[in-house]
Parts: sequence; structure tokens; C-alpha cells
Amino acid sequence: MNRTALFVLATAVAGAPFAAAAQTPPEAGPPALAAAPPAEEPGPFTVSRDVDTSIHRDRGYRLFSDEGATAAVGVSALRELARAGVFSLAAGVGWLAESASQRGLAFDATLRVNTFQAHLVAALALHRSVVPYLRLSGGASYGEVELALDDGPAVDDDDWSGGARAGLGLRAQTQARKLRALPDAAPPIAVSVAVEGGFGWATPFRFAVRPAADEAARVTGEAPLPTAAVPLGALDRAQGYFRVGIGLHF
Amino acid sequence: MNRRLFLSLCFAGTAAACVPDSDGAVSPELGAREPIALGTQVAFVDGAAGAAFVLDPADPALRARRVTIGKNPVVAVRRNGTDELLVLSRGEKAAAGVEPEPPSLALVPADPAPASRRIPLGSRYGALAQSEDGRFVVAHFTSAKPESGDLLFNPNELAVVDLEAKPEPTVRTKPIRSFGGVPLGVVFSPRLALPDGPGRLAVVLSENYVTLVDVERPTELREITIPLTLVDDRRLLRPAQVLFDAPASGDPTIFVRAEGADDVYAIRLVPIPPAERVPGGQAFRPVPSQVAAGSRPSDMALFDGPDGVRLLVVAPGSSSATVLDPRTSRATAIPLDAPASRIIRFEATSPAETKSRPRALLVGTGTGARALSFVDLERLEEQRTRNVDTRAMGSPAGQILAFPSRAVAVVSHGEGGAAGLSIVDLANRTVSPIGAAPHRQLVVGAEADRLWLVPLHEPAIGQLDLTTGRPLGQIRLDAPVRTVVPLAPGKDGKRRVVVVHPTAGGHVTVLPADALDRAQARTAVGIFLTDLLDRGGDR
Repeated sequence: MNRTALFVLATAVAGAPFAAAAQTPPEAGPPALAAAPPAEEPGPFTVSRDVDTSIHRDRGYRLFSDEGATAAVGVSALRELARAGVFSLAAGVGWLAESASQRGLAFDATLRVNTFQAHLVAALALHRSVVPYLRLSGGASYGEVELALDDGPAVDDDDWSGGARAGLGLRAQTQARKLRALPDAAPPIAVSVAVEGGFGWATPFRFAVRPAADEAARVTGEAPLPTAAVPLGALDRAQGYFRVGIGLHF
Repeated sequence: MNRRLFLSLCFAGTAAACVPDSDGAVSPELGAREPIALGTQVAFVDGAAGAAFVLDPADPALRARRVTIGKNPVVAVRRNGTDELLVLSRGEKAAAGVEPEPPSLALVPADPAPASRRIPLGSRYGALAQSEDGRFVVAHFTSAKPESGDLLFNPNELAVVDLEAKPEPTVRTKPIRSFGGVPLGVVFSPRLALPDGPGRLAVVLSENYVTLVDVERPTELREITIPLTLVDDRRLLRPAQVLFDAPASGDPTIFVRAEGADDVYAIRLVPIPPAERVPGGQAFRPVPSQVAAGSRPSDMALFDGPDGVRLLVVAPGSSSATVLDPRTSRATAIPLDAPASRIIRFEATSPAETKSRPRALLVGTGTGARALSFVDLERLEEQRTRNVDTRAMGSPAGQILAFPSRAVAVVSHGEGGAAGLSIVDLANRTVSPIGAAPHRQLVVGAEADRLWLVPLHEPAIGQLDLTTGRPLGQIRLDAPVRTVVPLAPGKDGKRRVVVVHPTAGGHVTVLPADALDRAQARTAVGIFLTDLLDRGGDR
């Protein structure tokens, strides 16, 4: 198995980064890492499962969360582009799915945001196991808001937002080992846990809600009446964030 | 203008018998977010949000304007003579995590240019009444129960607000004398010729007594309390209707009809000679008298007799109406073919004469009567039944909407109009039956030329031309209908009607009143959510 194939496989299973080891058939023996050959350098690829918490400044988020904070989960994949001494530079892409929902006085409010990002990560390997890094991200977010009104239809809208993030993080990484269960050609693998904090700026979402067309048609069996959208206002995307990621390096 | 002004008061307990004002005002039931027509616009009060939303149906975007009105609003009405919304709010008590807010009276103009105003009040009142010109507002309690959450309060305290005082509206607090009751309501008099100059009185109605307060000098002059029963009288009388005889010269008289009483109370305001006046006292004294008016009268109306004012009184248990001369207490029975419980006074021609004269329509709503009576009021005591003209109806009247200025009335028959409608032409004295589906509501706008019907079970409304009796069509809508608000013609000359659907968050459909066409309708769902995110998701 070459590195590209392993990259694809690891991305697919990034939700459970250690699944490869955990799902090894019993006859394959004890966990491979324990019995692996001596340490080596991992390859240039990193796949990470991320849990992101955003702390929003805009009070509008209180519609969806009393604390004004929302959580997201996602995956990211990086490839090391260059290395010079302790300094390394990696680039990659990622996806975050953010969701918050809360009961209002007369409706249920739900916000869903899918963010697609490109990452640039500069790391400084001052220590073999603990690596500080700087991450710059840019991308687009697709937000959907839905308000399910009591005794009435649900109204919704969606919008796109573009923006960037900058954050500093610290990654604790194991030594890379070759897995005995994998072919000899397979690269050595390391795992890491990263914590990161930073701030993001983005154009705000602007929502103007209306019911889905089929809702009215369901009542009357006719084409729905022309419907004016009700402007909900803007949802600012300037926010602090805190990220925890579990990565697989190979 | 007749020298007498007729005012009547319907209390919440008898709201089912109330006829909406001819301007289409509706009950201020805040929990249900009843809409209030403000000229060409419509206002909604969102009690939970402490905000009013003003919608201009001519705006293609149907964007509602949100105005903060104060927490816990309890009454919202159109300010008389204006296109302003008047909202009484109880405010918020201080509590853990709750920002306190004083009770207030908010004025929200339909026109967005002038800013809305909030006038702080001293107590968390539960009701308000306003003068006919909208200048004075009296805020009052209606119960001694601590509904507002205050530990201590005086339920007989009033706040008299002069909205046109310069430079700022004034609020004057007035505790009134009590004989154990609390105000049931307040009725304003027209401008009366009082001994020390023209003035206006607020008549505060309480069980077994009424109180007269000079609204222009509420704190300078003492109030006058007038018992309706003797000390040993155990009856419970609830004042239900007040009329004023306000002659340009001579003594004004206040007539009070009370539930539980067979008599009508006439309170003449007699001047006190200057030498006998006391500092801080009124310049008049009340001289009450009781006039027998049959058994449990249900409505009364004033009209001019040959030598002074007369009172026409009806009682549902009687097959005659009674004309009372308050000056002599003489009663004249006018036999009717059908018992009547309501009096609709109007001036119009009749089939027999082309001159417009004072007349009355007597209708028995809820009495089972299948006929109604037209009465010519001039020389009624002399002519008696010769002045009465009876018309049959297909079935008994359940509800009546009357528009004297247009000489038209609409009678709804049966429970929820199940037995149809009748249009009564007051001038031609015709009763035209109209087939109608069972309905939850009949609405007639300020123009009083069209009737809107909200059916019980269908998401639709129907329209009828009141002048011709011709149905103008119906339209299916996308959601069940709660109510209909016909509005005055907009700047573009178009008349619109706002249909309100029973959806939390505010759901309206705007239709051109002249063409019930789905293609020309526009709807908006969630108008109370307007700018929700910009205001911090605060609902």
C-alpha cells in the first residue's frame, strides 16, 4: 500500500483515528504500535479529526445557544510542502459542520453551518514530541437557519459567507512507527493531539426567511401565494475559536 | 351634530354582546396578538417581546417595523382621533437576573417619522380608557388581586394622562374614594357646560357606585362618589352603560344603566352657589334620581323630546320599549311586536318621508325574536305604536353590527351565523337575507361598505358589498384565518385588507380589497421575527 492510498483510507476513517488499529482482526495479534520497529519520521500527510468550539461576539447567536457558543466537528487533511530544519510548512483542506439548536418562545431555532477551508500550517519542531504551530485558514461557509413556528410552517433561509482564521496551536505527537500489520512499503505512522485557539473573521450571514413552497401547497393544493421574505438580520462571523484535534501522521 | 353625545360601554364580561366600533376597532386581546388598524397600516403587539410591529401593507417587502413598547403589555388600542397605537404595559419587577422596568404608556405612530413615546407610570395598572378626542387617558386597576405581582398597591388609584399637555404629557395620580369596590371601567364625558366653565369628567364605574373625576383638574378638585344603592340594599349593581346629556346651557345629566337594577339612574349636575363652595371641591353637586325602566333593561339611548331629553330603554324580557322623561320620571310604554335588547340610534330618511330624522332600530339579540322594529323618535310618546314599524326576519338575531352613519346594519342569525345573515337597510327598512357559511367572524371596515366573512373551517375569506348585498367573491388562502383587518385606502388610492393567520411568529396575507385574486396577494410568515438576529435573538 503506498502513501496516497493510505491517505485516502485515513481520511475516510478520520472519525475514529485509531480504528485501523482497534479493528485489526484478533488473529493479527496485539496492537501493532506496541510491537512496532524503532522510531522513524512519519510521512508528509496528516489527517485530523477536529472538534471546534466557537465563541461568538454577536448576540444573535443566543437565538440558537444560550451561551452564544457553538460546536462543530470536522476533518482536515494536510500535506507537508517544505521542511527546513525545525521549520515545516504544510497545506491542506478541511471541513467543519457546526450546528446549534434551541427552543425559543414560540419556535424551535436551528442553525447549521458547513465550512470548507484551505489551511496553511507553519510548525516549529523545537521538541520531538511537542510542536507549536501557526495555522492560517481561509474558506467559505454555507449557513442555514430554520425556525419551526408553533402552529405554523417552518421558515428557513441559507447564505454563504467567506472569511479567514488565524490560530496558534500546540501539537503533542508520538514517535512514528511502522505497523507490523501493514506491508513493508507502508510509511511509518504517528498520532497526535493538538489544541489550538485563534480568531476568525468572515462576512456576516444575512438571512431572510420564508416557508418552503410545498408547505402552502400542502394546505391548499394550489400554487402557494407569493411570499415575502422576512429579514432576520445579520449574523456576524467574527468569532474566537478553540479547537481540539486528533491527528494521524504518515 | 346633535347636542347630546351618546357613549356606551361594554365590559369584558359582556363582550359577546358588544358591537365593534364603526371604525373596526377590535378587542385588545394581547395574548392572541390581535391586530389593530391604524389608518392604512396595521399594528400587532407581541406581549412576550414587549414590542409592537407596524406593518404597511403597501410595502411590497411587507417588512414590519418593530417598536419597543415596554414589557408585559396589557392593553393596546388605537388612540382616538389619531393613527397612533396606545399601549399600556405593566413593566417588569426587579428579580434575580431580571432588569426592572417601570410601567408605562407607549404611543406608537403609524407613520415611522415621528418617534414613538413612552410615558412612565407610577403603578402597574391593568386597563385604560381614553377620551373621545384621544387627549386624555385614564389608567386604572380592575381588580384588587395582585395580578401585577406588586406586594402592595391601591386598586382605586387612577393615573390621568394628558397626552397633549405642553411641553410634555403629564401624568397625575389620583386615588379615589372607595366603598369597597374597585373600578370596573371608566367612561369619559363629552365637554360639559360645568358651572365654572367647560370641563370633562371621567365616570369611574364600580359595583354599587360611580365616581366623577374632573380629568382636567384631577388632583386640584376632589372626586364625587355617588352610591347607586342605599346602605341596607344588598343588591349587587354593576354599572354597564353611561350616557351623557350635555346641553350647551343648563345642567348636564349623566344616565347610568346597571346590571342587576330595574331602574336607570339619572345624575343631574347642579351648580353650587359660589358662596357655598369649599376649597378643592367641585362647583357642582350631583342630584341622583331613579327612573323605573322595566325589568332588567339591557340598552338605552337618548333623544330629544318636545320639552327636553328623553330616554328610550329596552329590556329583553319585555315586549315593549319604554320612553322615560327624566325630568318628571314619567314612563311611556311603546308596545313592540318582538322583544328588543339593543337600540341602534340613527338619523335617516324613511320610506314614508324624505326628511332625515332621528330614528332607532330595536333588535332582540339572543332573545329568539324573529322581528325587528324601526322607531321614529320624534313625537314618540304621543304617537306610540304609530311610530313603530316592524319587519320580520327569517330567524332570530344572534349578533348585530350596526353602522348608523351608513344607515346599514348586519344581523347574524344563529350560533356562529349558522342560519345566515341579514342586511338591514335602515333608511329603506328592508331586511335582506344573505346565505352565509358558518363563520367565526364578521368584519366591516371603517368605510362600512363591505363585509368580510371568516368561515369556521376553511382557510378562506368572503366579501360582500353592503350597499347592494352582492357577494364580491371569496378567496382561498394558504393557512387558516384568525381575523381580517380592512384598512383605509393607501397613498396609492388602493384599499387593502390584511388577513391574519393563527401562527406564532406572525403570519399575514395582504390582499387588494377590490380584487380577491391569489395572483395579487402577498403573504409573509414570521413578521414578529423581523430583525430578530440584529436585536440579539431577543424574544
